Amino acid sequence: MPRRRDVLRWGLAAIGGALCGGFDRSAAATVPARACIVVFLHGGASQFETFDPKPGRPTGGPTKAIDTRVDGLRFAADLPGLAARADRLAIVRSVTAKEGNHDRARYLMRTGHPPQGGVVHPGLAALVSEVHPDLDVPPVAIATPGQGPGLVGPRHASLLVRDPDGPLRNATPPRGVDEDRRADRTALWRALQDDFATGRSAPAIAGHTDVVERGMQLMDSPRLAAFDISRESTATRTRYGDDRFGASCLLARRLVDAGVPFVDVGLQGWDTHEDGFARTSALARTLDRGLSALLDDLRASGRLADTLVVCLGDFGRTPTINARGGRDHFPACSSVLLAGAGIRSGVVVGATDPDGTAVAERPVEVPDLFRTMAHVLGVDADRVRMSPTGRPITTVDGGEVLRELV
Amino acid sequence: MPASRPGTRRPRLVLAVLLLGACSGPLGGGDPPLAASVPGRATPATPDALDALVRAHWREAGVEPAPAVDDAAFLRRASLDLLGRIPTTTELDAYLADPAADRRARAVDRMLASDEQAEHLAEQTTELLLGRALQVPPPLRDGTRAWLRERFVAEDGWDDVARDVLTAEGELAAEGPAGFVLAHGRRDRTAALAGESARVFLGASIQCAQCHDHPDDPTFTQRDFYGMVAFFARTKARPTAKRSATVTVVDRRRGEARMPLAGDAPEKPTGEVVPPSWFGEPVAIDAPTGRRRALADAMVGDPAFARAYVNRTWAELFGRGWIEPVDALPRRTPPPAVLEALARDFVANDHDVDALLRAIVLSEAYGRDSRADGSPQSIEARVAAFAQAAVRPVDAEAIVKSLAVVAGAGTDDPSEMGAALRRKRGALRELRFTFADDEGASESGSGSVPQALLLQNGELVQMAVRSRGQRGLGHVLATHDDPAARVDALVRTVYARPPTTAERDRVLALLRARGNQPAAYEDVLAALLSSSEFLTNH
Repeated sequence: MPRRRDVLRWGLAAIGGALCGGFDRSAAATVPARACIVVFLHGGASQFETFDPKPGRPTGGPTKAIDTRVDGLRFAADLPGLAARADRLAIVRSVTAKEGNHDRARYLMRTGHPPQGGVVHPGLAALVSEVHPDLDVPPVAIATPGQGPGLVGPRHASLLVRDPDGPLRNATPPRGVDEDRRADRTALWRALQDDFATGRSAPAIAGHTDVVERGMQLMDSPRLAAFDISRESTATRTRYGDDRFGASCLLARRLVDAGVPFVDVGLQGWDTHEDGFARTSALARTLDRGLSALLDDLRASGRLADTLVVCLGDFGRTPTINARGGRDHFPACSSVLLAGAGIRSGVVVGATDPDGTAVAERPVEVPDLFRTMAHVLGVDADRVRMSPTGRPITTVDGGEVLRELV
Repeated sequence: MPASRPGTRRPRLVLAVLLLGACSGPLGGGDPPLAASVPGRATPATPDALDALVRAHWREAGVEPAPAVDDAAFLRRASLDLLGRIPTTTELDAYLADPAADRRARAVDRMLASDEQAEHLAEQTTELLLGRALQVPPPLRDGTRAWLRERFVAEDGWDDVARDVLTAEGELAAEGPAGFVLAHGRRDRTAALAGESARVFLGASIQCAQCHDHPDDPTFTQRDFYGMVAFFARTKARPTAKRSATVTVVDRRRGEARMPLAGDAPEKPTGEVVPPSWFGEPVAIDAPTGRRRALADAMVGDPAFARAYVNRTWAELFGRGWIEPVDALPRRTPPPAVLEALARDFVANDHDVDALLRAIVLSEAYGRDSRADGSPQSIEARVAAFAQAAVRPVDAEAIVKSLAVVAGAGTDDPSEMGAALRRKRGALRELRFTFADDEGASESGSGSVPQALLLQNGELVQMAVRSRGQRGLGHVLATHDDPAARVDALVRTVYARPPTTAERDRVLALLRARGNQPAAYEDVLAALLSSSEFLTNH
């Protein structure tokens, strides 16, 4: 259900469109997207086995490539669904970074900043949530924890849904506790919080108050039903894949349909140092099925036009295949998929060299990527906040919007 | 009061604080760490000396300390820190009725002498040794905790515990010190073992040097890191049989650490052999299988060993250490005077953990109120200088144990207290999981939405607020008829203090409007249990 603010914004946009005599594609791209879904490939997906295959090269391994709907663009053979939809998405093959440790790399790929002592940068989830201050749902992370809200504050912390099956836990009042009893509890609790906060160190108390209020808001939200994917038909479940990732993608679609502004979907298992090819093959098929169904449904409902879908992970993996038949961490090259929200589709940005040992064309750094996402999502990339120690922190440090995509 | 440990020796009141010398020499600055340097300079002193150092720190920070915390709030704070739960009303009554001038010290000594405190310390130490990782197998976790509990009941020093953990060998049941080596060193992950040993026992972050020279400390090179790895190069750790709780840890006579070459898998470097070294200094090894013994000697003798433990303990008790992060202490910066004084005492006291806890808990710094007048900035400045108590979220175990105290009101038998709650295994698991699972969600300690929902609507809290039955709220309603007396008893049970006049009036108005039904009392209790005052230590 749209909130007043949304109605206002969309109303104005419609009037603006009417006055300008048309609502064309370039105009649509200037309106911030309403939602973002990030599919996070935990552990670092091999670009060789997904979006940048090198069959026949010494570094290519046994992975085969297939043609896609875009001339000259080939994906690994385990991505037939995405290959058939390549004209609706964009691939950046030249993402390059320096963080080769999982935790540090995830922090970078979720905040746009390398970890620095003393500052906790907000994750993209919190930045997007902050653009929608009146919404009654927080950003959601499915299966794996997303990034914390850092400087943006606990009100915009992601809600972690570990198990995408079934309704949200503990979101209904205990039996016998009706509206009046709840109101009494809430009124007394608020008074207790206020009293306790007086004269005491504020951050932990104010943060706790915010988080509990968020929970109570969610209990009353008409969006709560969106958390329950058991309301979907078996046919739909099957189309997304009969696994946790499929369920996660389906839940992400339901949440975005209901107006949740940011959903992070984790797919774990990509840290394939050993027996890499069998494992990445299975993972790629899982990814292909879930993400294809998600893109199809968003397109069918018209939500793809205002929903940014991004697929990325910790880092890429080495051209060298190690003695255990796996690939190790390789931040120097990785591939990122983007779709929806006016992102130009059927586009490939950048390239690696023939053996995938380095970026050969159009190096893209993480701040470029974040500046592009911020632009699409209506996040002010140049906003400066003060850290608790008084250091100015810019939302995105440097970087340029990828003009090939927007 | 908690049951007393038989044959317990009282923590010695020896405070080897160096009033003048503590801040003089640049410890760890430039010269290589000397094993014997710390005990040699220690001079026994009194608690007054520690407080003098703390006051000097307040003056330097330019803050006026908050008022002293009152007796009841002190008991709640110390009980949560030392036992991991709020005090029962019986404990509170006994303590407040104690006419002795040193009743705080007497209460702290009773807690330190209890098995419950050893159990709590064992829980905290298990987390330190094995990490919070949910994937550590439960037998390993339980076994490590049981072993540590026995060591803490026997009042073994932290140096002896560390030595046993680092040198554990042979075929050992899970109830043994081998949990650490097994948890981190499986599949020959010697680099992880070296990194975790330095983190746990020295508060040092060295593992980034696995791939390159240390970014923050150019004197710690990649080669130095592999010199540390070399202490574990001959150690093999694996379950004795598949899925067995029995562990075999052996040191072979051969095996070397090697430098990594480009293209090596992270755990299988193939470059030149690196002999054992301690932060770059060669270490003599007396026997082919003696590498871990040499490591334990170097570890325990290093000034950072005591400093790291004291800093971590301080951080547990105040929410923040003298040096942060507690796992990445600089080796070459002189430590703050209070930390160094306590570290010297700790060494002089044979690394007696209870004596350290006693000294800190009875210090003027720990005895500050969490509430004081002033602007938000001045409050944060005082908290940062340990001149006003921080507000610290309590962990899942403390919530469970404290809910059990509330639900068990009317009994002081710990085995009966909250027995019904403890039978709810599924609900307990959910609570622990929801609290362990907030990685990234609450850097600020404000908790997560799933935690908030669970504490409002979850099964355990519903049970804890039930008005029927002989315990908890049922006991409060049965013992008192007057609504005001019931409110006093209820607030005292949950907050360990009487209600303020305004609180009493507000709650009584709520009850009156609801005709004083039991359900109205349940709602009052539910509000108390989801409040920050209950869910934090302050």
